[in-house]
Formats: sequence, C-alpha cells, structure tokens
Amino acid sequence: MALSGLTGNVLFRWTPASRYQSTDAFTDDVDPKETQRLKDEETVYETEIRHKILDAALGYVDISGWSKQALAEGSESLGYPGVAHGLFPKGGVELVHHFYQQSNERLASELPADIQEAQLDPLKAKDDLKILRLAVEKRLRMNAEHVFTGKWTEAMGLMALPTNAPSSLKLLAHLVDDMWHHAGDTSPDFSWYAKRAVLAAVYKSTELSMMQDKSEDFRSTWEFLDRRIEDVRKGIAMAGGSIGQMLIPLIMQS
Amino acid sequence: MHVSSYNKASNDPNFENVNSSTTSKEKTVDFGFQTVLASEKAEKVHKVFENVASKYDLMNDVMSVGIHRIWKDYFVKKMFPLPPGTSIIDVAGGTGDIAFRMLQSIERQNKHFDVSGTEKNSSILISDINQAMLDVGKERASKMNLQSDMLSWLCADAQQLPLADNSFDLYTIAFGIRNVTEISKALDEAYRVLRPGGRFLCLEFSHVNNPLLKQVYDTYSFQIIPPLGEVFAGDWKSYQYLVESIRKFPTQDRFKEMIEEAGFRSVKYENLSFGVVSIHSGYKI
Repeated sequence: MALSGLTGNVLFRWTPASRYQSTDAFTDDVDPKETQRLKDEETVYETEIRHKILDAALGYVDISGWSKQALAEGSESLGYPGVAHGLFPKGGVELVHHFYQQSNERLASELPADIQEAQLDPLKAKDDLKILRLAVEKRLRMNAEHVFTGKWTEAMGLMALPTNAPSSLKLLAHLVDDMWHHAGDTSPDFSWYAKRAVLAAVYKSTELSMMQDKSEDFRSTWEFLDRRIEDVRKGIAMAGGSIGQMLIPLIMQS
Repeated sequence: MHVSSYNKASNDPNFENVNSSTTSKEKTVDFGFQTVLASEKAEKVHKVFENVASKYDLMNDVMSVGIHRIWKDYFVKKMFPLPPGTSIIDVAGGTGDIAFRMLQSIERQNKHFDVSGTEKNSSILISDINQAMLDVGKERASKMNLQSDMLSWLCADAQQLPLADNSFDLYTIAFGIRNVTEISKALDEAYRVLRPGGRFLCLEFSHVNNPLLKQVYDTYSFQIIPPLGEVFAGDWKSYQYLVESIRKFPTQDRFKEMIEEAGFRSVKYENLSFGVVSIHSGYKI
C-alpha cells in the first residue's frame, strides 16, 4: 500500500511542470491550445534566430567556404559567440540549403513580374518553353556570385553527398515545380512528372555548364541553355506534341 | 541484495532526482538508491570523490574498457571549430579530462588555420567542488607540459558559481551533473553564466533502451563494477554509488525537458553506445 502511494506520488511529480508545482492540492488547468501556441511561438523564435545567423554567415562564404567556420563568423558578426555554429549540426550544407531556399523564394516572388514584362515583347515568351528558359536563366544568375568565387562547386559537392542528397533533391523539385507553375502548367496526368523531370535535367546540366564557363556574362552558358530548350522542343514535336509522350522512346531505349 | 534494490527502482521509470517530500520539513534527495537529506548529499558525494580521486583515471579505463576516451574525444569534437577568444567553463572537470582535450584540440586547430597573433587566445576555466580532484588535475597538467596560460582553476559548487552573469561562451560538464544535489539549480547557474548565444554541453551517463543490451549493461554495472572498484581502488562503496546514481539520473527526454525549463533553446541530445552515455546540447538564445 505504501508502495502504491509512492508510485502515485512519483507519477504525479513526473510532469514537465514539476519544478514550478505548488504545494497545494489543486493543480493549474493546462489548456492544450495554449501549450501548443507557446510551443509554436518558441519554434518561430528559434527559426528566426537561425535564419539571422545563416543570413549573416552567407557574407563569409567567399572567404571561409560553406563551412562551420563561416557559420561561426556569421554568429560572431551578430554578437553571438562563435560556438553557436553548433545550432547547425550538419554544418556547411545547412548554409547551402538556406541559400538555395532563399533563392528559390526570390525567384517565386520576382518571376511573375518578369514574365509579364517579357510577354509585352512580341519576340519573347510566346510559349511556356520560353518562359522556362527565362526562369532557368534568372535562377542560375542568383548563383553567379558564388560561381565567380569558385565556391559553387563546393556547394554542389556538399549537396550531392549521400546524406544531404534527399533534401537537396527536394529543393530542386520545388524549384522546377515553381517554374512550371509560372509557365502556366496545370497538367493533372503523368506528364506532370515528365515535365518536371525534363526541366530538372535542363536546369542541372546548365548549372554544371556554368561551372566552367569563363565567357563574359556566362554567354556560353545561355547558349547551352538555348540548345537544351531546343532539344526539348524537338523532342516534343517528334513525340506528337506532349512531353509525356516524349519520354516514352527515352524509356524504351534505356 | 544490490540487485533486488536495483530492480525495485528500474521497474518504476518515474523516479526523479529530487523528491519534494511533504512529510518532512527538509528536502530529501537521492544518493544512489538511498534517500538522504539534501544537506547531506554534498558531503557524501564529496567523500566519494575524495576517495576515488587518486585512482580516478585508472578506474575510468578499467570500468569502461577504455571507451570513456572515445566518448570524451567525441564530446570535445562536437564543439569544434572553436573561434579564437572563446571563453569556456568546464564544470566538474577536476581532473582536466575534458579541458586538456579541448586545449590540445585548440592548439591543433590554431596550427592548422594559422591564427594570427593579434587575436586573443581562448581560455578554459576548470571548476570543481572537490579540491582533491583539482589537485589531481593540476598535477597532470604539469606532467603533460600543457600551455597553462589558457587554463585557470576554481574550487566552486556548480549550484552557486562565484562568477558574473553572461561571462562564458561555452559551458561543458562531463560526468558531473549527476552528482549535483539539485540538477535544476546547476542548470540555472549554467544559464546565468553563459552569454546570450552561448552553448551548454553535457556528457552524462544515461539510459539504455534496448531491453537485451540493458540486461547485459545492468549485470555488468551491478555485478562487475563494484568488485573492480574493490580490487583496483580498494573501495566498493564509492563504485556502488556510481552505478546507482546512474540509474537515478533522469532519462534522456526528461533531462532534455529540464534543460529547457532552465531557459535553454534548441535542446537536442545524442546517444552514444546505445545510450550508456548521452550528449545534451542547448543554447541560450
């Protein structure tokens, strides 16, 4: 009996709020909604600080690379001790993903205006492929500063590591999805996947081509991109007008 | 006898370190599987560590078959790179096990990165409640020919550090917080002395969750460690306390909550060796 009393007592004490528990018999009513709201607030607060440090750290990538070093320097520039780099246990790749995500968001917000502007010009953006070409170029130009300093190869390497690849692919998937959305894609069928796969291939190959492009303003990269878009156009024409069908011979061949 | 008393505790996962008993006026706390008055625990723990101080390193190697070195190396690796000028406090670090590792890693890092002489060096304050342990540490430091201008020593209670608020970047405590009378008080102090953005890192024995491994681990702890203590250090009781206090320490998740209650954010933990030890990390942000 004494034991059961003890167990009950102990169980009661086990609640998270035990430290502030008052001695009287009435416990405060804990509103689950209120608890959830407080939790959410905490998460928002933490995320804000993390983003601040990541943003600050981006300024040090030129010198320190996509590394814990850059994260430490970023935290120090905000007045936090350098040890705060431990907030990002995966290290440099979290910085890369942050930059990628940020650029994706920038593209999503700026692209509609660009498309509108382009559509005023009768020579440009008559079809969705032209819009995609515009979007790919715009997005790749956001990486340009890191391509110049030679740090983008490092970033691509980090993203390709097996442990980081899943989240990297997710970011790429979101990117091409956004691009197709702005190109006015509403396909509900299998071509939904095909379109995104084709665009991802175009984007990734152009990104790689940009790595070794020494021409002024990445001229040869944009020429490369034009040729890839032409390839897609030809492929669609050969397959009878749809990307979904275009993939069929490709699958058959392999 | 030891096993039976152990079973009683292990069947009830809800044991907590501090019992706020309402029947007696004074608070009681756990000392191993015994319950003692809060005022007595410090003295008892003090005695244990006075007894084991001289054989501390030998016993660590014997009991963990050397694995404690890997745990400690990993623990120290987690905080690197340390920017120059980081001020570190290593609490309950009497024999310098963690501090010396940090010192050596800092030297290695500075060689590698070629830190210019203009930057101020990092500093490590080693604090322990027990002078006997600090003495062992000082002796080791002189034997190892360490760059001692980065080290300083302090004999103080982790629950009341005689240090200013917001004065450290990194607070580490390895295999120490278990022995503090009131863990929450030590956590509050850690929060107080850390600067905003500072990191709390704790290496401590924890709980093995795999039932099969747990059985092996428990048998080893209760049947083998105290006899080893008797053979190598001539002290059964201190090592009996050691294994008992590990069982009484809060689980990984409960301890995480306690750290959050002290005000830390982004609190995470990582199990090493299936949970025999775990590393908890939190930030004052």
